[in-house]
Amino acid sequence: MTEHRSTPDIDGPGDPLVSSAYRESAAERAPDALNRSVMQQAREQVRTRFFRPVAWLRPMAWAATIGLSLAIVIELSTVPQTAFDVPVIEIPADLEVKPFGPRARKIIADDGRVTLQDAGSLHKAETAVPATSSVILMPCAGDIRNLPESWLECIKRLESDGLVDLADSEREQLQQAFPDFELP
Amino acid sequence: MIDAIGLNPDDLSLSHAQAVAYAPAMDPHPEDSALMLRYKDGDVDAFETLYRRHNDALYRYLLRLCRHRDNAEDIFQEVWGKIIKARGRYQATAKFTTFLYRVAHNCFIDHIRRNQRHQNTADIEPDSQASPTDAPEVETERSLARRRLDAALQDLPEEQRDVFLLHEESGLNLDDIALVTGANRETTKSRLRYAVKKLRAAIDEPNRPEEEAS
Repeated sequence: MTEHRSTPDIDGPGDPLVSSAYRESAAERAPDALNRSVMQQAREQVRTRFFRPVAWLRPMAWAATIGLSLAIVIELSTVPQTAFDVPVIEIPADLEVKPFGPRARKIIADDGRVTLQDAGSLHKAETAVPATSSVILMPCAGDIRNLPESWLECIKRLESDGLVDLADSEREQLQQAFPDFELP
Repeated sequence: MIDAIGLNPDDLSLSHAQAVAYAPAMDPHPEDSALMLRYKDGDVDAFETLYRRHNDALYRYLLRLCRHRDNAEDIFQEVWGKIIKARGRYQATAKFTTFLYRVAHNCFIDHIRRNQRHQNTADIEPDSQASPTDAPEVETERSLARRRLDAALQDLPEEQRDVFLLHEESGLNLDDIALVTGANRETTKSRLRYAVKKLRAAIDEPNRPEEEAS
């Protein structure tokens, strides 16, 4: 330890002889154990203070996480449900649904719209409906349904065009209309 | 800081510098207040420097004021604990030494109120600083003088002893000692004069009855 013992200010009734005698008499120094204890306390106090922001940050992070989660949930719950609904196209009752010819084919546009085009008659039946549409089409309608063979041929064309759901629907209707007909 | 140790800012305004500027880190001998401000900002090394400047003098002040080693050590720890805890509110409006000894003085007064043990007999022995160059008879005389001084110091009234110890150990002037003890300057000066007079008489009086008896 550095000895620091400044000379008293001689502006009072001091006595150099008394001061000198006192200084010879009083030479104690603070014990090392005390010094260590105080310095340890000083370090801990600083550590405590500088860790305080970290301790404060943790609940803040939790609060921010919870708040953000709530905001997302509320945002999702307030979005209009119709945005996710598939638009349903109502087909007028008097609309004549023309069957597709043997060369009808499916055209998938860049925007996902499906177009069924009959190349022979240049009849273009644009559904303007997403591929997931629930619109019921009757591609095998009219005289095709009179005979199970022609109906089945129409179904096969649908399958080859990739319209599997329509083909399955037609297959079920064919089975109901001609229960004795043996489907392949 | 001020409230925690019972210092009045108006009283402090009469001592030392108004506000000590932040000492540059490269200053080999930064002022106490600058060190305390650095410690306030988390610099433990600055506190260690400050502590080492004052620890021994404060220890001796408390030891001779209390006259009991255990009590002095308890108060010593209490004082530095208060200094450490007060660092967040510390402002360099007065000498750090004044601040330190005011805290120490207040802790001692609190200790007196809590515990009357210090009023009983003392349990400290004066340290001797024998010089190897001194002749044995000279050293013996010095040793006796130190013993007489120490006995006289312990016999002093508490206020006089307090002022004398502050004068010798803290290096404070009369104004600051008055500030520490809460007395006015003239009272402080009077106490110091009486204390010094009695101590000088003890040193000059070689044949005290107790020495003769021993």
